[in-house]
Amino acid sequence: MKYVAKKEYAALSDQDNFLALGSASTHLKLKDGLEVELHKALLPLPKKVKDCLKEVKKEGK
Amino acid sequence: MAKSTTFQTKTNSKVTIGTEVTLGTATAASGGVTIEMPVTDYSFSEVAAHTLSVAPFRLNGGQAQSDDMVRAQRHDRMYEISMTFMASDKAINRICLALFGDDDGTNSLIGSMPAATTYADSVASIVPVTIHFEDSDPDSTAASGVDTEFKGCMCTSFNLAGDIGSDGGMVMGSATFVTGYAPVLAAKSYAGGTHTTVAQHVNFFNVHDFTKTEINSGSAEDLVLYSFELNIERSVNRVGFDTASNGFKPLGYSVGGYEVTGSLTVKRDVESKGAITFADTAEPVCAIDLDTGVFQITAPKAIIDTASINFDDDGWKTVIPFRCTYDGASTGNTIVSINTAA
Repeated sequence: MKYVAKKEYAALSDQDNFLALGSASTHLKLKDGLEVELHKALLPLPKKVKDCLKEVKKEGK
Repeated sequence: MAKSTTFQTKTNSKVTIGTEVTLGTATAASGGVTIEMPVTDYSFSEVAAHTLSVAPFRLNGGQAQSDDMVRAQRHDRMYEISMTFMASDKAINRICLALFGDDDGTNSLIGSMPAATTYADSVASIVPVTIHFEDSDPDSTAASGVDTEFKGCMCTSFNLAGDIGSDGGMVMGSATFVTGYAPVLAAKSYAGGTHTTVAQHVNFFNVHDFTKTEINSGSAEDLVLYSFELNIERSVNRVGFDTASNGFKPLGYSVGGYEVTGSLTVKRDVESKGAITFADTAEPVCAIDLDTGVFQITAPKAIIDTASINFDDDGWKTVIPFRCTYDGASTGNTIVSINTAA
């Protein structure tokens, strides 16, 4: 599943965002408006982070 | 005073990396996140790590040095800590977290890194680490262990290497850290929190287990890999000093950019020839993929450097040095990824 950041993600502190979860690459991609695929090691996400992400729906066939 | 009977040995000392909550505050003895590293070797700077600064000689008489003219310089000192370890998934993840902030198992160094270019004393960050060497203080005895602890450590380099003909083929890591904070010499035991012991490192990686050793520069070249090496380096400079407390502690650090280089030593054959042969009008760009099915190093935009030949008795080999870059189409693209989970 792919995700992008909602604008609320930028307001998360470094103690709550993906930097704190040990994934600086995910954090930087989200900040740059890119889609990310989350590694299973990052799951389940803390609610605070999950609420700041939007799932990218696959295009219908 | 009688000669001391105390001594220290490497075999008697666990090496533990602890996550700091704020730069310059050592990982707490209880409740922190700590990991014992599966080290095979290590070293660290002696406590007196200052340099001497010397004034120029006066001319015409008195051409000697007084104690006013020679001073110990502590304001710029950096202690260096290095360790060599068996590259388990947990050990690799921990070093990647310290070096570029990823320990999620994909360990991807991307074009927009680092996430921060400065770190300030007493400011929250999970990047700096405390490195603890058990029973390593000169006062340490068998009966009472006294430890050496370096806080505020920043990782400056990580080397991963494996050779099918040495170390049992084990992939070995070595990491170097620096800190501007003076070491603390005191007994400390980690309890509670998340503590990973050496015994909990069970997933090690081995060159014998590679199922894919490929360079792809348009066509996939299947290489007979003898050895590989990957180096990730960056500079860390201390900023400022505080003479008022804690022995010239730094006010922070500034970090430099990442340089990612490496090399493959492979059998010299038609596949290796294909891997290093490019038209003079083309950049020698390729994708490197070394994979055991669990442990995988990928460099999607590696640029081949000057290749050479090893004229070995067991067959000639091609040494392929490379520099890893990211695809300039986006800074979100990967420079190198060190996967440690299937």
